[in-house]
Amino acid sequence: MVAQPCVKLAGAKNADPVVEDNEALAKAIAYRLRDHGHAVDILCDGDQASAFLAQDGADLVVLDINLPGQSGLEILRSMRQEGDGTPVILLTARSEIKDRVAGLDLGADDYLVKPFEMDELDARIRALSRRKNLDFGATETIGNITFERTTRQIKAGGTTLDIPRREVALLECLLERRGRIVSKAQLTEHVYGIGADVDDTAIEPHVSRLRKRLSNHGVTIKTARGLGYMLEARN
Amino acid sequence: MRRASLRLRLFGLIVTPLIVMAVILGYWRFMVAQNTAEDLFDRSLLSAALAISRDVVISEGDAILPSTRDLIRDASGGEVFYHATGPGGIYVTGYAYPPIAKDQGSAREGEIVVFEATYRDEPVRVLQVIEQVTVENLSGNTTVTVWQRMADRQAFANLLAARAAALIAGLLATLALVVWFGVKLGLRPLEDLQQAISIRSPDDLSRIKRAVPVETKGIVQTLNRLFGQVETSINAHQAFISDAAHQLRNPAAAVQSMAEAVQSATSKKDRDERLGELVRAAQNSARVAEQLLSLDRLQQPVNPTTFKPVDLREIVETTCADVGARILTQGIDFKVALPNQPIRIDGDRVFLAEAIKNLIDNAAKHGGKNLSAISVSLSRQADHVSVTVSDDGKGLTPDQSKVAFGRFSQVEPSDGSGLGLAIAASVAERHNGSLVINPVEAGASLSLFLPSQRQMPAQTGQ
Repeated sequence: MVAQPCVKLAGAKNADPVVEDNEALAKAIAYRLRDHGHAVDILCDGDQASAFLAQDGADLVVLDINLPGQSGLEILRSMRQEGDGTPVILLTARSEIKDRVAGLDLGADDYLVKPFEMDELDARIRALSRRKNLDFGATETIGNITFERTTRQIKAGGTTLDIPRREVALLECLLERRGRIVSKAQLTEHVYGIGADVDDTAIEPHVSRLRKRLSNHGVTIKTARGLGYMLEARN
Repeated sequence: MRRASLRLRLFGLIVTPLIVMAVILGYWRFMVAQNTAEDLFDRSLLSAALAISRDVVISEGDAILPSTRDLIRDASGGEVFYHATGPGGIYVTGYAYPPIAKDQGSAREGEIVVFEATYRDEPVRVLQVIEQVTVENLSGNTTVTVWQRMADRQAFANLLAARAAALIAGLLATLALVVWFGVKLGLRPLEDLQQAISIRSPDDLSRIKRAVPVETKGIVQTLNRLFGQVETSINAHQAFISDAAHQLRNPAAAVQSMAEAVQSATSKKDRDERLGELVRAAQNSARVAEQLLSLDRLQQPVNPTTFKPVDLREIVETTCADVGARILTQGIDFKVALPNQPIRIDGDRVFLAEAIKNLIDNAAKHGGKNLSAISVSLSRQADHVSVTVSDDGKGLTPDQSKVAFGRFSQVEPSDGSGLGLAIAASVAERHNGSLVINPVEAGASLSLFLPSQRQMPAQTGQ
C-alpha cells in the first residue's frame, strides 16, 4: 500500500493514537473516537508511529498491521520489549490470520478484522478500557438511560433507578458489548465471577427481570436462543 | 545446466568417432609407408648393385657404361653412390671412399650385406655385393658397394604418408560438412515447430495443426493440451474479472448516489435516514469485495497445510455471534442449536466461517418480507457433520440448486452479489463435503455437510 500523507493532530495528554495507512479509515476512526470525547492522533507511517509512541506515549493504540516503514507487529514488539503495556487493538485484513495470532502472542490486547463496524470498535475499546481500568467513558448512554461506571448508578431521565446488584452487573456487561451478542457464559462469568460453580441457566431470570425494567426506557434485550443476549436501543 | 544444441550434439556424436578412427588409420598408413619405402629403396639398391657388378664384368674391369649410370640414377628416385673393386681389391670405378660397416670383414663371397652407416656426415643405407668374377684371366672377388641417403627414402615415406593424410582429411571434411548441413536440414521441422509456437500468445492459443515429424508428435500434443488449459483458465479469469467489476460497480454506485442524496437532504430526519442507507450501502460494498476475495482465494489450488484440526462448534458459535447481532437488529428471531461437545474436523477456519456466514446472510437477504426467524443447527452423524441454516422466508427448492449455487447468479434479483452460496458450495467442495438445499414444506433450509473423519482434502489444480 502506498504511504498516505500523514494527518497529525494536536496531541493531548490523554491521547489514543490511531496508526493506519488507509487515511480514510484512520480518519473515520478518529472522528468516531473524538465524538466520544477522546483526543486522537493519526499516524500513517510505522517509523513515525514508533517514534511518537516512544516519546509521547498513549492511553490506547489502534494499530494496523500493514504500515509503510515498520509494520504494526514490529511496533508492538518494540513497545512490549521496552515495557510499554499500553493497551493495543490490532486491525488486520481477513487474510492475515498468522499475523493476528502473532499479534496476540506479542501482547496485543484485542484485534479487529477489516472491514468492521464502528459499533464493534466502540465495544472493544469500552471492554478494553474497563479491563485496564482506564477512565474512558465514565458514563454510558443507551436509549433513555445512563450508566455511571464509577458509582455504578443507573439513571433514567434524571432519576436513579433502583436495580439489584446482579442486574447492574448484567447491564454493565451487556452495555460494554452493546450491539453484539453476549454469550450466557460471558454473562455468568461477569455476574458471578470467573470459575463460579453456577449453571448458565441461572442468569435467565435476571435477564428477563432486567429486560422488563428497561423496556420503559427505550432499551431492549434481545435473545438469540442458544447463543446469548444483545442489548440495543429501541428505534 | 545449459545444453548444447541438437545440431552440435548430433555433429559431435557422428564426427568425433570418425576423427578418432582417422587418426588411428593415419598412423597405420604412415607406418606402412615407412616399410614400403624401405623395402622399395633396398630393392632398387640391390638392382643397382647387381647392374654395376655385371657392368664391371662386361666392361672388363673398366668404368661402368654411361647407360648403366643413367639407369641407376633414374630407377631409385634419389642419388645413388657406388664403389666397385675388382679382383685383388683393385679400385675399378665409383666414388673413392665407400662407407664402411662397423663389422667389416664378415662379408663373404656371394653374399649381400645391407647396413646403415655415415657418409659425409649423413646417415646412409649401404648395400654390398661380393661376387666371384674372372676378368682377363684374372679370377677373384669383386665388391660392389652402393649407398643412398636415408633422407631420400624418408622423404619418400613422408610423401606417401602425406598423400594418405590428405585423402583422409578430405574425406573427413566432406563428411563434416554433410553432417553439419544435413543435420540442420534434418532439424528444420523443429524450427518450423518453434516458429509455430512463437507466434502463439495469450491472444492466440489455437492448436498447432501443421504436420510434424513422428518424434515431436508427443511434444505437440502436450503443448496443444496445455494451450487448451491455459485458454480455458484465461477465459475463466477474464469472465471472473468482468463479473467482479460489475459486482463492485453496483454497490459503489449506490454509495456514491446515497452520499450525494445525504448532501441534498433538506431536513435532519431525511438526512439521518439517508445516512443509515449510506452506511448499509457501504457495508454491502465492503461485503461484496470481501466475497470476491474469498472466491479468489477459493480458486487457488488446495494447500493441505492450511487444513488444521478445528472445532466446528466453536466456529459456528463465533460466526453466529458475529452475524446474529445484525439479524436481531433487523427484528428477525435468531436461534442456534449446538451440541454440548466440541466437533473436531480438519479444515480451514476462515473458509468455514465464511461459508456459514454466507448461509446466514443468504437466509436474511433472500427470505423476503415474511421472514421472521432464522435458525442454525450443528449436528454430528455417523461419518459426517452438518451445519443447517433454516428460515421461514420465501423458500428454495432443491431443483433451484444450480441457479442458487452458481457464481454471480441469483434465483431472484436482489442487492446481493450472487456469490454467497457459490462460496459456501466451493468451501464445501474444498473440504470434501457438499452443500445441499433440503426439501422442506415452508421456508428454506440449506445444509453444509462435511466429512467428520480425518482425511485429505480434495486435490484440485494438479
